[in-house]
Amino acid sequence: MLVLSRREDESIIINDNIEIKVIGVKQDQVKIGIVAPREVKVYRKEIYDEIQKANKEASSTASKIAKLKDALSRNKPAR
Amino acid sequence: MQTIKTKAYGEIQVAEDSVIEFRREILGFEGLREYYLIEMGDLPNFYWLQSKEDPDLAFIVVEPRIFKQDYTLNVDDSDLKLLEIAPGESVVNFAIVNIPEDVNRMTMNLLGPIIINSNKRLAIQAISQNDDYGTKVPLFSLEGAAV
Repeated sequence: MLVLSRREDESIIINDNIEIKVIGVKQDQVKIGIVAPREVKVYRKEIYDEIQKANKEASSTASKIAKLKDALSRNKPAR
Repeated sequence: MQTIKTKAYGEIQVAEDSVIEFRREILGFEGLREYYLIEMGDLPNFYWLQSKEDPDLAFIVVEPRIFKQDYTLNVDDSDLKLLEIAPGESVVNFAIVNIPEDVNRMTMNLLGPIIINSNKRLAIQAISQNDDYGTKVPLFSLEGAAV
């Protein structure tokens, strides 16, 4: 991992067209600004972690088919 | 026809060209790119997403609108580009189902929808742009449920 120190209002540039700027530092929180072309997707890493966790969980529960049939016969869709 | 191994039904016959290629893998299952979508005979709207490479890996998926009528798919254009959708091609969208101990509290993952170009048989797990959608959206309204 490349580690750089930056102060408030300082930036780094990635790949000539993505700018990541430190907007502010307050206690244990850093506010970051990102300027990037439209096609660059930016997500908080928690989103990936959350989906990954849900996938793992779902794969391990996917054999409970009998239960699924049971629940479908007794419940109404949330809608 | 060809014979494939499945987690739910053992060996079954599927059409020769029915494998679906994931252009971006299911998160947490990197390296596994080929899946079959298998109808769950007696459960309409539910399917098995069965890994070709790992017979022990399968997900239950469902069409989200069956359980959430106002559901809309909202993903980044660059995600859709991976599916190479040409005019006239049809795109289907599924959510992975999670069955907890209390099966009445079954959920579906709308934050990471599965999208398939059914003509080219290309798929991705996308990330929803709609912040309201989580990984555990209830399938059932528990009000009035027979307990």
